[in-house]
Amino acid sequence: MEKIKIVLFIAGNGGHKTQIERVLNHIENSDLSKKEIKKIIFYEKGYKFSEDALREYEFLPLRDKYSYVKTLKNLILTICKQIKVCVLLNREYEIKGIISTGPGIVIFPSFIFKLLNKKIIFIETWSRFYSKSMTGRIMYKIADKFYIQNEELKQKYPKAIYGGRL
Amino acid sequence: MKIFVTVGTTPFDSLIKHIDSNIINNYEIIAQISTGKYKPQHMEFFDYTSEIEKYYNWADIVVTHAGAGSVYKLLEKNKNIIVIPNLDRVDKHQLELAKYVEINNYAQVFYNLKDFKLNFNIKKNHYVKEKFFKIDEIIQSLDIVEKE
Repeated sequence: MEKIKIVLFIAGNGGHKTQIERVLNHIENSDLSKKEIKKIIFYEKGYKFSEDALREYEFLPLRDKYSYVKTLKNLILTICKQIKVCVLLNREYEIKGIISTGPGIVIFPSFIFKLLNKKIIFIETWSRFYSKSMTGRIMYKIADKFYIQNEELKQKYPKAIYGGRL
Repeated sequence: MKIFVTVGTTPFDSLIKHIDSNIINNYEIIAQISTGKYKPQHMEFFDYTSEIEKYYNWADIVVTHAGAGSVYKLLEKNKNIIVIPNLDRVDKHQLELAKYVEINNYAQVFYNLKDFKLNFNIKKNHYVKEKFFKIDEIIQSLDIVEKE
């Protein structure tokens, strides 16, 4: 049986949430999306998603802003769960790629699916102008297409594609 | 004069406290304070709302943290805003957007609460965003569109 084609969207809270929602909106309104694109969403704990996704998975944020011990704990728990979920999804669906605007929970799944030859698309957060985000710094090396929303960032990411602002 | 204060998802108690203690007379103020520990005594407040747009529309001036979600939305609405980067946060991410807003003169920016004043009728540049124009390229590269 042919597997269902899906795109994995990775979302976070606050500004990350607004950005991924705008990506989804743009995709929905594009002339190219005549047929609905099937989505699976990974989101950071605390995020409440309103879109209709085939499946949703919640992960702890990689970094705890206030504690290194918590960061280490989150990191281990999140990565273990991500490996499990990614293997499962890869078995069940034909994953076409990942789209994300951050946060850090995008990094590990991107590694995994990059190795499986899937398209990795990353849009650096719109709140950066003069320095790289931690996630952006890593995703710049992994992503097949790396977009920036602020032209000022061209200095930091010379190979990035400027795409306008979400 | 109606003023709405918003701090987004991360508490910004020093701002809320400053406004609650210093900037009250003759203004009608409502504040969105997130999970902030400081509860204002002299103004109306709430934690979160799913209808923030309603408050944006209500206000004559919006005092906002320098979070991108809030700032871009407000600039797109062409609201009169005052931007204050949240330096209570461990990370200082909001400084970049604050600097961008300041350099382009889209709004007044105060880095230090001590300098914060409500000035009205200050001439600002009109914000025009270049809309994201790479969505079709993204969709195509994913090869998810059914060929006809």
